[in-house]
Order: sequence, then structure tokens, then C-alpha cells
Amino acid sequence: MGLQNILNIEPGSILWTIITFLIVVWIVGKFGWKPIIKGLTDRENSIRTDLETAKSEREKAGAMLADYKQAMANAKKEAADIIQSAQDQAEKHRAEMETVAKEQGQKLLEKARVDIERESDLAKADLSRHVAELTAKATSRLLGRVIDDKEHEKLIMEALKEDR
Amino acid sequence: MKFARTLLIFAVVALCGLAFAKEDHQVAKRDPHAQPVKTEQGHGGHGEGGLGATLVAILEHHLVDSDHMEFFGADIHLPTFRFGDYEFTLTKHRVWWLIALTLMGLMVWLAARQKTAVPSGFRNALEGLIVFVRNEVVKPNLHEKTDAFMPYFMSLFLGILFSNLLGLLPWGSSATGNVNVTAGLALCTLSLMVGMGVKVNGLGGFLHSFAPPGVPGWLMPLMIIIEIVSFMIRPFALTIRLFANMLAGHAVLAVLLGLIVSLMFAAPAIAVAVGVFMLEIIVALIQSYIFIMLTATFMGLTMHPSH
Repeated sequence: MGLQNILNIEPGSILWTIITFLIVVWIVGKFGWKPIIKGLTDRENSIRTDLETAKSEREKAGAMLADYKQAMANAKKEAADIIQSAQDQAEKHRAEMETVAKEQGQKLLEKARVDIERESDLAKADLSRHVAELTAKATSRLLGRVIDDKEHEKLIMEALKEDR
Repeated sequence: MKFARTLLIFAVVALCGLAFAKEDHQVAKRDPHAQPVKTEQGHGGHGEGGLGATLVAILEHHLVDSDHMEFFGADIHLPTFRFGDYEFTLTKHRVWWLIALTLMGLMVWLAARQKTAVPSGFRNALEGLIVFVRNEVVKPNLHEKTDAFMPYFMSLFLGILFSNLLGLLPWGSSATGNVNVTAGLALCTLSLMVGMGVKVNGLGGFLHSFAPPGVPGWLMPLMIIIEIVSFMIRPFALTIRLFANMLAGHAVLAVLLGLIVSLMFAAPAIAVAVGVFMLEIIVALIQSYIFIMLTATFMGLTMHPSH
């Protein structure tokens, strides 16, 4: 058979090709391709399901995170309000305490001044009386006579008037 | 590392080419067709006429089917079986076709043995190929029938690919370089085209697809003839395309390596042959892809004629 016969059609060869090919396709298809393709398809489906589940879970987690963030923001706001309110109350209380303290201080101061004045007056009166007594004694010695209290007082009062 | 790998591939291809060439010249020396030409020309060895005869002998040895097979230098005479009045000869291309199918079967069997949930290595590569064929070739044409036909398309692709590639090995031969093999495969495609066309659209619907809508009545007979011819020519085109590509590629390789008659020719011939060899590897892949692509397209056209 030469090159000139290269395009010769031989039904036997065609049949041989078809029969052997179809037999191999059947055997390999049943025991080879089908399990491989089934495994591949199953894995693809499993991956697709997993991806969808993961997507859904991610969406759920996202919603939960948003809720959590909202709750956190609310809690923070509430805490800030509580702190502000406490600060306001404390400030108010402090102001009240300060006012009360100031008033009490003023009262104490006033009382102290009154006491001081009273004590001062008493001391002055004591001093005056003491001075008068001393003066009366000294005057008695100088005058050589006893001056009674009435006279004595009169002299003192005159002297004081002159001092003023 | 990359350079070393490239060099290794180049060396392997060149060695294959050299083995191919050595084998060719051995064939040419003892080929009965070559000898008379040499003696007629009166030249010993590779004279002008001798070279022509050598090339013819090499081409015949490589491209034409025969009942002889050469393997590692051994000439094997293939048996003939007789069934009553019928006889069946196991020719070279029939054997190489069986070898291609066996290799394909072995590959699938090896891949199918792996039972792990996550595939690795060879199975992974094969699954990549399956996904490509399914998504790029079969699904766009066969739609819901894809899964049912995937084993057929994968077997067709790998069978043709192995057959194409086996022709590139020393002492190897491409069964797909035989028109009868490609005709057999194209007839399978034709049967599927008709079968699926009738199954999906019914006999009436299938026949109706030969009468395109919107054509004037007087033009209809001509259009029907054109449509029938167009339908029948598809498997014919499949047959010739694959056969001619394989034949041409191997013919070019054989001629280039047949030109190695002296050191002067050897270097450029081997250099070009290595290039053509690499091109042939790509052609082997592309032709396998084209065959299944066209098979799927033609089936899709008969199953969904409105598309």
C-alpha cells in the first residue's frame, strides 16, 4: 500500500475505530469518568453550599455586629448621661455645701465679732473700772482723804469726758 | 534552573528526532519501494534520485497503514484473523489506536483510584481538564445534556490527543493520521448529531431544521439541498481536518529528518525538525480540542436549531 492509497476508505478500519472507541467509552465512562465527574460535581456543590452558608453566616454576623455596636453606643451614651447627671448633682451639692459653709462661716464670723465686741466691751469696762479704782486709790492717797464711791464715780466720769 | 529545564526538554526532543531519523534511514535502506528507484538512478546511497526515493520510503513507512510494525528495531508482522469468509488484519494504525485508547483508559483508571476528598497531583490536573472541557466546550452547546455527554467528550479528547502524540515518538504512529480512523470518529459525531437532533426535536422538528424559516417558496428546494449538504459536510470536514493536520505534520517531520544525509544537512534539518516537533505537540493539542469543540457545536446546532 503506497502513498497514493492514503485516502482509501476501508469500512473495516472505520468499523474497528467506531467499535473499539465505543467499547472504551462505555467502560471508561462507567468506571472512570463517571466517578471522577461525580466527585468533582459533588465537591463543587459542597463548596458552593459552604460558600453560600458562609455568606449567610457573614451577613448574620454583620447584623449582630451592627446590633452590638448599637447596644454599645447606647450603653456608652447611657453611661455618659449617668456620669453627667452625677457630675451635675455633685456640682449642685458642692455649690449647696459651699453656700451653707459660707453662711455658717459668716454666722460664726458674726458671732465671733459679736463675742469679741462684747468681750472687748467687758474688758474695756473692766479696765475702766480697774483704772477708776486705781485712780481713786491714787487720788485718795494724794488727797489724803477717802473718797466714797459716789464721789469717786463722779470724778472718773468727769475725767473720761475730758479724755474724749 | 529554568534554563536547565529548557535545555533538558530540547535535548529529549532532539534525541527523539535523531532516533526518528536513524529509524527512517534504516527503513529507507531496506524498503522495497526505495530500492528500484536507487538502482534506476544508478546512484549508491543518497544520490539525487536516491534521496527522493528515500523520502518517499520514509513517508510511506510513517504515514501509510501496513500489517507490519517496527518497535525498537524489531519488525513485527501483525496477525490476520479469519471468521469464515471474512478476514480481519490487525494493522499498524489499528494497533496504535488501541494503544492510545488503552493509555487513555489507564490514565482515567489511575485518576479514579484516588478517593480523597481533596484531589492532588494527577487527578487534580485531570479535573482541571474536565472543568475546562465542560465549561468551555460542552456546556455552551449542550446545556442541560452536558453531564450525560461528558464521558464521551473526555474520551474523545484524550483518545485523539494520545493518538496524535504517539505519532511523535520514535517507532510510534498516529492512528489519527489515517483517514479511516478520523472518519470513524466523525461518523460517531454524525450519529450523535442525528440521534440527539431527533431525540430533542422529534423527527419532524429535526427534518424541519433543514427548511429554514423566512425563505421564499421557490427557493426552498434549493435551500433544503444546501442545508442537507451543509449538514453532511460537517463530519466530512471533521474527518479531513484532523487527518490532514496529523498527516501534514508527520510528513514535514519525516521529510526534514529524511534530509539528514550528511553532516552539512544534519544541523539545520535537526534544528528545524525540533521546531516542527514542538509545533506538532501544540497541533496535537489544538486538533484534539478542535475536534471535540466542533463535535459539541454540531450537536448543539442540531439539538437547538433556533440558536
